[in-house]
Amino acid sequence: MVTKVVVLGLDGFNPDLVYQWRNDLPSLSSMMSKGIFGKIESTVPPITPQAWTCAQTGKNPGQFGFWDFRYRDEFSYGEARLVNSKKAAAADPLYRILPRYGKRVGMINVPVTYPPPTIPNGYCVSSFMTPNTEVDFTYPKELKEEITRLFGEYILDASTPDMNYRRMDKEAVLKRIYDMDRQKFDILKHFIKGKSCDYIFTVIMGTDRMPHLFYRYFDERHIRYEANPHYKDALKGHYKFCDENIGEILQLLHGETVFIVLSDHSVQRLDGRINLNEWLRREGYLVLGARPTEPVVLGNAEVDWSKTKAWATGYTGQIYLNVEGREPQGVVTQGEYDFLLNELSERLLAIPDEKGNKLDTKVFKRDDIHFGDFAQFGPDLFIYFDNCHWNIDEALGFDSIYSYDTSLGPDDGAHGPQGFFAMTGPGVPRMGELFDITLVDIAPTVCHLMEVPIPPDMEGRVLTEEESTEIYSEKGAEDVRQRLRGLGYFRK
Amino acid sequence: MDEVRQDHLSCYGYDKIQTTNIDSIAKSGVTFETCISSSCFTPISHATILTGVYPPVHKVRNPYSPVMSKALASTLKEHDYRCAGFVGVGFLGSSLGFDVGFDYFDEPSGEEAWASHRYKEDDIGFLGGNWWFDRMLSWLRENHRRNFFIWGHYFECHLFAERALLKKKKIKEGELSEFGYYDAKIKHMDEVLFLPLTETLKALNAFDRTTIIVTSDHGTNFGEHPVPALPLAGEEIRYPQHTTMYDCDLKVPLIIKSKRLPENKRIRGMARSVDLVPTILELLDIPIPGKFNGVSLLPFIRKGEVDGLIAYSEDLFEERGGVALQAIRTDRYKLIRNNTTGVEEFYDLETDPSEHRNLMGNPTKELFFIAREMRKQLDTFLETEDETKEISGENREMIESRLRILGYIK
Repeated sequence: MVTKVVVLGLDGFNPDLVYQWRNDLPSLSSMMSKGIFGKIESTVPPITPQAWTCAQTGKNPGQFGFWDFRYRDEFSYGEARLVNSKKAAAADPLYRILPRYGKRVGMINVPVTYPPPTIPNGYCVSSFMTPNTEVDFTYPKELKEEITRLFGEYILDASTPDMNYRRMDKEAVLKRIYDMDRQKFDILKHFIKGKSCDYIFTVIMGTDRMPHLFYRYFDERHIRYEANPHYKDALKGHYKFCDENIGEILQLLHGETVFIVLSDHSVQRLDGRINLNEWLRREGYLVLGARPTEPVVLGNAEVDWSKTKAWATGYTGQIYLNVEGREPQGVVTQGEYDFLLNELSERLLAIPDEKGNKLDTKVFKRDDIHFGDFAQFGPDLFIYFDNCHWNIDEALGFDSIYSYDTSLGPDDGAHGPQGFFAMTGPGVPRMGELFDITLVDIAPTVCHLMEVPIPPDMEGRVLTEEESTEIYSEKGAEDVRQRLRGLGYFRK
Repeated sequence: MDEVRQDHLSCYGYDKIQTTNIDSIAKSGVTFETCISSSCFTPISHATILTGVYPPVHKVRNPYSPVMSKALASTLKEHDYRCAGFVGVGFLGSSLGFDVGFDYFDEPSGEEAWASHRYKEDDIGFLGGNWWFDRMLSWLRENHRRNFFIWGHYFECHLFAERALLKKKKIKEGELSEFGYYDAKIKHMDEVLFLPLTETLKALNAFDRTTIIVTSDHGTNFGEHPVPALPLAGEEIRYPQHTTMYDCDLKVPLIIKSKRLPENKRIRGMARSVDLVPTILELLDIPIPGKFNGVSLLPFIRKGEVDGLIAYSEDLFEERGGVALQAIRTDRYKLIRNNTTGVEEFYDLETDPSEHRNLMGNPTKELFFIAREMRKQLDTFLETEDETKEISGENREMIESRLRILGYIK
């Protein structure tokens, strides 16, 4: 019998916290003991839309064309387009591939599935990137009525239509996150029981929203650590809630279906923000006509493009160069390009924290990490300040290059570059922890398990195959990592 | 012709019956070894034959939507041709705009159609039958001195026509009875349509200067590719029926006789029904506007081979065959997509002309990329009209040049 697969995505689920709390997470712990688990390398940068798209396509962002919620597909100043399902579908995610082989697919709450794509013979319930619940957010259309009837008004996100979740009353938002996630788990269980799907992919968003709100209450190193007995275990409580649901799902699957639990990135402690465009301005790479009196987003600032060499966007930080013959008023010549990238890299790596302490910063040149038809439109440089414990703010007009809040409100969490991965079920050997898993491995592994040919443009590998069955020691794993790095298999 | 497979005409090598009169037209003109229609469903395919554009453009994607593109008769009328249309089934009639541009249009009426006359009301849900030959010949006699265009649609090779033909003793009980008297009906057509047509043209001294095109809207399936029985036919007549995107349903005869063309010539490669209108216009020295999905076949006729073309076909009308289908084909490869289930089939027609070895299960790297390009094209045919418009012109040339680089069109 050909294998069926259920994938449970836990957005932002942090592997370090799973390892730390493993004894209190019996279902995940059992999966880890019986099958394969490990930390999974996210995309660069580790942001939700491209990370889930990467997992579903087996391709790097250069092949599908977005590396954030917004992207550009021409050489404009700014990322004018919002990610959408049409863009993602063009890269052939599993929900497009599997129906070609007669597999029935169910997609529940997966980011970048709005507008709901046509999935022949299958189902899609769109995710938080749906405008509102008035619109058609399911495929087929009639599924919306069924979902609403059985599970109530579909909860798109922790934020309500008129309130950003970061500013909501903690109790209210906590309840809403549990309501939201319980609803998605219930829909998943409903699909497992009654929809005869061969492949289901569900994403739980509360696992991302929770640490953004409650990280400060349990990590004493957090800059805003607050000893609060009521919320001390709020995040752990939510991890346990997810674990309980994972246990129920495992029971429903009777060991006859492969079950994959994974996250797209982690959410870890946020230590602060670098005002990256402000830094670029101060260092002379970005030139303004008039300096704003209060912080304004890049798009509203009076940038003198004819004198600007670089500008930044994004969450963890990405920099575009203003290249001659590429951007409309490009000034960086081809000859200067590499020099400027190296110069910027060195100077970014040297930025300390506010107190002068060194940050564990990494930079990635685009051409080293992204390839494919759309890579050319992407940022030229990506930065992980202090391994993403520091994010960036792209607004201009700050008095300092450091800030802690955004205009959106306080934030406790920062996206980390490694997510969590665990897999058990028929055909999955007991391989223990693997140390070289990346998001691009998910799609080819699913194809392999479901006996569907792996498309040659997928970049990853099959995680259950013999070559990777060797359980490395930490030392051995590091050796392998170094070797693969030498082959250019990894980003730096 | 309706539902006539090219491999059941003797000019295409069939030996069980002799279609002498069609053969004689073939001897006076060119015969295309392969012609692919735009649909396995009559109104969709005919709309393409008459407009030179694909279903997303002419909008006939089911039996309810009228033709939205300019058809050949309207163009010819502008160039002072007299035009007459004679159709054998209701959904090629005036209700869907198939009559536009014709000075005279003849379609089945309640009085004349065998569906309403010979059978119970619920037997067949449409009007069909052919009573128009005499009227066509009369019209021809009256109009042959001017430039004229006749579109005739012969319906009585179709399943169920045998009932009327047997009752009227036009075909013999028990003779050539396979597949609903399929061969008997073709032989009958050859005699009652093509013989008098040819003789009348010759008698009027108009045969040499008249261009004659013989083609069909689709082929039919004798069970080469099993499909569920038609609801109204019952199990005893499972075949023929035409509900697939396999070549048995899409490959049609195409014979063109014209004083401008060589005689008795066979053209290799793959032509398409969508190429007919531009081909006819060039034969008539009428400028071809650049808005067709098809191209003139004359340059290929000179070469003796059609190459580099991509044929698109669809039947998205789920109520008929139960599924929505699309296919895209070159002279070598074909991708069929079932949009209802999502299932795809990919065939190498050179090594597997009968389309029984689906390569989707183990494609080579090269085939994978070919299928991917073909799939992108299928997607463009599902887009809205505005989006489809962008695919013409330069964009199309870009796609085709990419396909060429990939090596699967010449």
